[in-house]
Amino acid sequence: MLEVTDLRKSFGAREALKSVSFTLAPGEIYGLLGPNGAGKTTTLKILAGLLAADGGSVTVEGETYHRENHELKKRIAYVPDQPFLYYKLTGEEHLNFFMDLYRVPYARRRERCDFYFRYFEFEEYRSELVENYSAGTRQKLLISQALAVEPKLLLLDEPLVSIDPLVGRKFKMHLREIASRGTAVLFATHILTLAQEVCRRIGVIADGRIIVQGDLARLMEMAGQGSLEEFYFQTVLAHGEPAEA
Amino acid sequence: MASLLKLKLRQLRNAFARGGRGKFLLLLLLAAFFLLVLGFFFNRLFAYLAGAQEFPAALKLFLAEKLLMMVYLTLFAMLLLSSLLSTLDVFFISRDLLFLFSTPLPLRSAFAWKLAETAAYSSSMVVFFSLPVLSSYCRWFAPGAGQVAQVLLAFLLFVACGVLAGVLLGMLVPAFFSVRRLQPVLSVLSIILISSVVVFMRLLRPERFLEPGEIEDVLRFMGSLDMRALYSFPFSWLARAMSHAAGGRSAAYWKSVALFVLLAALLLGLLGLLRRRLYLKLFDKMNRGGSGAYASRWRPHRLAADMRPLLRKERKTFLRTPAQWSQLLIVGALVAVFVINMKMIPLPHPSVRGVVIYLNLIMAVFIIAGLNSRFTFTSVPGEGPGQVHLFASPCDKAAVYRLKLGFHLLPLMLVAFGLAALGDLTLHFDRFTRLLAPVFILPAVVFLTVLALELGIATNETNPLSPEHVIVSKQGIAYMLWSMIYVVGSVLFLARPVVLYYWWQVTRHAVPVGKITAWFAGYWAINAALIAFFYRRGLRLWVNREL
Repeated sequence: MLEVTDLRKSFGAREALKSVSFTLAPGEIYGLLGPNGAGKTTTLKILAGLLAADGGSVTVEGETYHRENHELKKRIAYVPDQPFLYYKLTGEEHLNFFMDLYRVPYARRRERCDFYFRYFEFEEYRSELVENYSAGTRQKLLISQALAVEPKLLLLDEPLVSIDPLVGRKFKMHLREIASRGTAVLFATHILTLAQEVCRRIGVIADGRIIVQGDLARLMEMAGQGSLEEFYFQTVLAHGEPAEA
Repeated sequence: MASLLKLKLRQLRNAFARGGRGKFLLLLLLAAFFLLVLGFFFNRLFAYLAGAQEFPAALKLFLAEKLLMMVYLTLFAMLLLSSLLSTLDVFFISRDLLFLFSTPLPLRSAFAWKLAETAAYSSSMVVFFSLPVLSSYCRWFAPGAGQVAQVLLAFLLFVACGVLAGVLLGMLVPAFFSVRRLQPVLSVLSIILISSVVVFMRLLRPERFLEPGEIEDVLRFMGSLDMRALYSFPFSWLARAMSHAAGGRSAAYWKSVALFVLLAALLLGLLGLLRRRLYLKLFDKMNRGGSGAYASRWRPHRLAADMRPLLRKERKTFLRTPAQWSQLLIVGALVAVFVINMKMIPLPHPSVRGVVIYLNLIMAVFIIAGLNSRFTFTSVPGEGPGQVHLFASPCDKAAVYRLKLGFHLLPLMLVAFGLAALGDLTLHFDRFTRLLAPVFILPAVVFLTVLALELGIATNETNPLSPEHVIVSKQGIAYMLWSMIYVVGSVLFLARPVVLYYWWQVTRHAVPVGKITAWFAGYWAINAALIAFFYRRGLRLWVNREL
């Protein structure tokens, strides 16, 4: 589904990504973990088309991906780490606007709007301007619009920030459900328990490189750790040569 | 309080150190230019009043006092409105309030700090506008050091009273209305007020006062302002205090100062009471959020064109941001003044008509340059962080760029040709001017819009605080300078064919059509090159933009 090879990106003299490579199969949920400034958001932004890579390659469903490949972009949806929204649109208008951009057929829009406003429990804010939303409600809208376009590849950057635990649980269930229907999910997070709950594979990124990646259960077994938290600390603190499990 | 002041100063220093220096110097230059022009005007006015042989000394002081009263009436209205609006923002909406309230800073200090902030924000323009008035008045009427000190003291008390009255009103407003909805409405009201003042001043027809025979009218006009009700307001106290200081009437001066001090003390007392009894309650009420009363008017339908959703989004966000569209009211006032100018300015000779018509076309292009700086220039930065969705979605970025251009270009074209048509209706253009109007206006509007869009993208701003914030960026100031240089350059370039035409008309020879056509073609060729250059540069910047 997604193949990232030797992805590189610099901001001036600072190398944000030195060499990032990983693959993602259809229906797989892959967690990108790592300390602040390690390169998680930069990787996701390149995949979302917000940044241009300095080197390396990305293929999606066998096709080379670049910022102007609109046909491929139709299959990718992105949830940024901050709730960037048009404050002067209502929630419903925002969702419709986003579906318009992704050319979602008219007949399915109403149904998806109804579903996500109900599912994430913010139906009463449907006709409210986004500027009056709380941080959590804005995040719900961001997640809803990304899910509403039914992407093949879903990019999530810290998706559960400001979300209450009940809705968070619903989101995780929905994530598993869409993955079972073939959507590949790549998400960056600091919440290790979340990664442990939903990811089948993880990659730990530090200093612009993937230092370890593979099947979550196998990685923890190899490291002799009972929790992802312990495994993560051990890996990040002692990071050296990239490893593959 | 000292820590908060240090914080502000450090923020200013950092902004200055990180690329703000050039911008600061440019702003300083513009301000100095503005002060010089205003200073020259008031200096001439007060010099005339002080030096007029036909008036007795008392009448000179009286006339100067009336003039000051008119000036400070306007400034007092500005002060009141701007401090009212600043209060709503600084005391209720400002982002740092939650932070301030979470620190162990006593409420009293936080309140005093916010009061100082409001005073600084709302009085800066009034102080700026007053500098040339005060200095000119002191130069001609109150030159002694003691007199200058007296004038300054009265002015400072006037500003304090205006700010305190505005803050008091601003404190009461949230008790009755929603601040988030009221603030834009008040902004629009203040703009309507300013627009009305602009049209009113024009309707007074000040040009008639240039006629020596009309001086009686001037005196009668000023006399009509001598209403008892006006003496109850601080602007009148200030004018009188300045007049007393100039006339050496010490007792009367201190009486005016006492009035100021009493009013300020009363307002401060009331504010203290509001702080204790009401402020936190209103702040909490304000931050509970909206009730969800907005109705959705979005009607999703099949996409006839790729750009339809973007166009709809542009229209909705524009109409729902009063800070944006309310500026159109000012444009309306400018257009009204533009039409009145054409109808009222007496032409000394029919041959001057051609020059006036040409000046009116230039004025139309100046208005378009101004509109572009407010709307087109701010359109991309004003998109805000939401543009993440445009860049991450499968929509064609080049098409978005073209849409942005078209969205502003078409209405601006309508305004420009509308102004030209109004000129034609009032001045009756000749055949040559009817040809000149599109030759001049069409490329000028396209170029100015493309330039504004390109420089707007070059700001690389994705989260501006407000459109005003973007306009004073380095690129905003660059746009203002380059657009003015462009307009002046165009005027000088086209002056040649205009002069050629009217010269041959005067000498009754055949009009040199070939030469005029060559000049017009040259003007279009230069514009086409400039437009292509800036269009491509803007497109490149937009498509390669990284978020």
